[in-house]
Amino acid sequence: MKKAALIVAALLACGSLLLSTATLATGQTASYADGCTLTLSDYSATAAFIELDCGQPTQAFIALNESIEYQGVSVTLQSLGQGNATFSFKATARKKITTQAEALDAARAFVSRYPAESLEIEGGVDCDGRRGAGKCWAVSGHEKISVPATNQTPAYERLTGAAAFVDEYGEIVRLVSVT
Amino acid sequence: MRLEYAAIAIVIIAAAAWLAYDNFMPREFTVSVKLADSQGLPINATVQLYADDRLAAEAQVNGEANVKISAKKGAALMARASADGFIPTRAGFSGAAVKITMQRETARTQKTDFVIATGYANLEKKYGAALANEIKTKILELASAAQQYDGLQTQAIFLDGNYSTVGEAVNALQPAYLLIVGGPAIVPFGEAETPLKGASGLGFVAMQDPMVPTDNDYGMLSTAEYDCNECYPDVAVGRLPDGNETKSESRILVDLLNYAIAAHEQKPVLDSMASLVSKDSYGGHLHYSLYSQLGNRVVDAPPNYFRAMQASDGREAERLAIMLASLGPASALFLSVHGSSPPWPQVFSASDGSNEYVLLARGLPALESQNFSGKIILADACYGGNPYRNENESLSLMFLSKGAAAFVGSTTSALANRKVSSHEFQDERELLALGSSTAFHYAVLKGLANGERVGDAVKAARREMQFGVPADELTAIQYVLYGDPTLKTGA
Repeated sequence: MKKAALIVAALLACGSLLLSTATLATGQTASYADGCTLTLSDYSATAAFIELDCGQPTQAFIALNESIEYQGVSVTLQSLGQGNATFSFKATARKKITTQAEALDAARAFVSRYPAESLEIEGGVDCDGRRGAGKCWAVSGHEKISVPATNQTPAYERLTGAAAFVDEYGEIVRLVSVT
Repeated sequence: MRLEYAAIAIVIIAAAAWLAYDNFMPREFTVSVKLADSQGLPINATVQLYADDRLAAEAQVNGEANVKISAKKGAALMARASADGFIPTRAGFSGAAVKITMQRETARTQKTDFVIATGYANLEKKYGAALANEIKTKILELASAAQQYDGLQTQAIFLDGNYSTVGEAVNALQPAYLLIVGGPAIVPFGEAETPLKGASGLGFVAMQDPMVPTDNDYGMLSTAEYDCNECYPDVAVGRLPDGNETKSESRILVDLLNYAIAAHEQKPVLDSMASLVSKDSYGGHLHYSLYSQLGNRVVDAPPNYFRAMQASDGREAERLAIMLASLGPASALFLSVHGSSPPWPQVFSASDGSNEYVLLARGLPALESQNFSGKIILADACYGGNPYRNENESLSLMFLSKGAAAFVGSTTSALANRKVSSHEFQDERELLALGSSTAFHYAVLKGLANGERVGDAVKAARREMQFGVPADELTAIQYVLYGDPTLKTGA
């Protein structure tokens, strides 16, 4: 009891509460938090492609030791290898977003697929007309995809990208992506 | 166990519980709602209040009222007001008060119901005298059909006599509907500066498309005084395009006019739909409300059974044949896919986040042999309706030339609201309040299902886009209707 209480106190003081860990092979799914699942779609030596689902699915790339904030839970890719990937889940305390890094963390699940050099973070912006001026962070990323021709289809280029509008509590107020 | 440790733990846990309660539990409070027009006069309107995109309350408000809602601390609050004679308006707010200023629709005197306009001299330049004359004859036949079968007072304008521009004719006649016959070489598109210029988070799209081709300019009355006139045309505009060539012997305009005439004689049916959806664009809304009522058959792209294949594996035609067979029976097709920018060839593609899959491209035999007779095509794809492609390079013209009754698509990079991918809808008004192309397409389909003419459905969908929200403004401007705006569908 004493140890548990001290651990709870320490974790709360750190702003997060470890919920669980899961080790998955490609295609496997783990449950976490209240009704959320994580599916490992694919992985390389340094990153994993995952699907997070707390009602409706969203996809994200996550690098080794990187954390993604999604629906109040921080998902961290702890290790890769031996044909599987290990993730940890931490409930995050509600705190105000005050830095670009925190805004990026809150939106990482939606912009992680885009090159780092394309990422832009802007504070003090209107949440796209939804909450009055100056309450949001706009976090965006983009990429131009070039596809070579095949013997049946032509070569082409297309722009892809997304902008997440993160409010002062780290909630995604609006999420817009290029079709 | 030492007592002081237990006491510390209890205090910390109690504090955490209070913080959780304070932050996450919804609380009831009253919102003061004020409605006025731009002159400050009170308005009687239906008001919906949303908290975190969920419908929290609906009330009839006559100028001013207090409305109770339940929402958690820090929830994103938004109000939407609608009233006859006004543009529907959404406004974000924080605290316990919201003031909504609504824009009154432009007053007008309608002198005819339907105008069909083309540049006859430009038709002759592009097609020669004989074919231009045949197109003219078909335009007059369409005017007769609209009058005979739909009771629409219709006037054909050839810009060779009383009126020298389409805008001049529209402002003189103030019709409800305008059909432009011909592409850029016959009647040029308007070019609007992108509303995304300087918009936070979306500058990369503005860099890609600084200008946005649009037909909205032709539906604007000179007396309009909206915050964004080009967003909310007062006339429902459609166009029968014919490609970007300046010279042609194609009979596509004759064919498209024949299809439009036939659609007045026998209305196309809207009783089912199918969606081709890029995996990274999927959302649960595709199975909700109207989509569900129309039995929306969602063809996941790439389908699971193709996952093992490489993106460009030389088996695109095989994939296409299977997908088209799935889409075939539906009377409306929703293409929630990706699109390429000119001057690259037009493709509709899908992505699973790591691989790219070509779905539709001109020249694929399985596609070119399809019949899209009477279908409504809604393309939620970048450049889906871009006008600056030649006839045999354009997917919109492929659909139309194979009988599609209407094609709704974007001229530039389009923006969807991806909240649909993480939101479980409880009311279709929540979907309509999301804005962007996501709400736009749903609104068009809803209008058609309610028996509206396609031009009215598209016009109303534009009005759901909120001035002041750059992505919404772009959506309102960039989407074009290819087809007769007076088209109605049967049940």
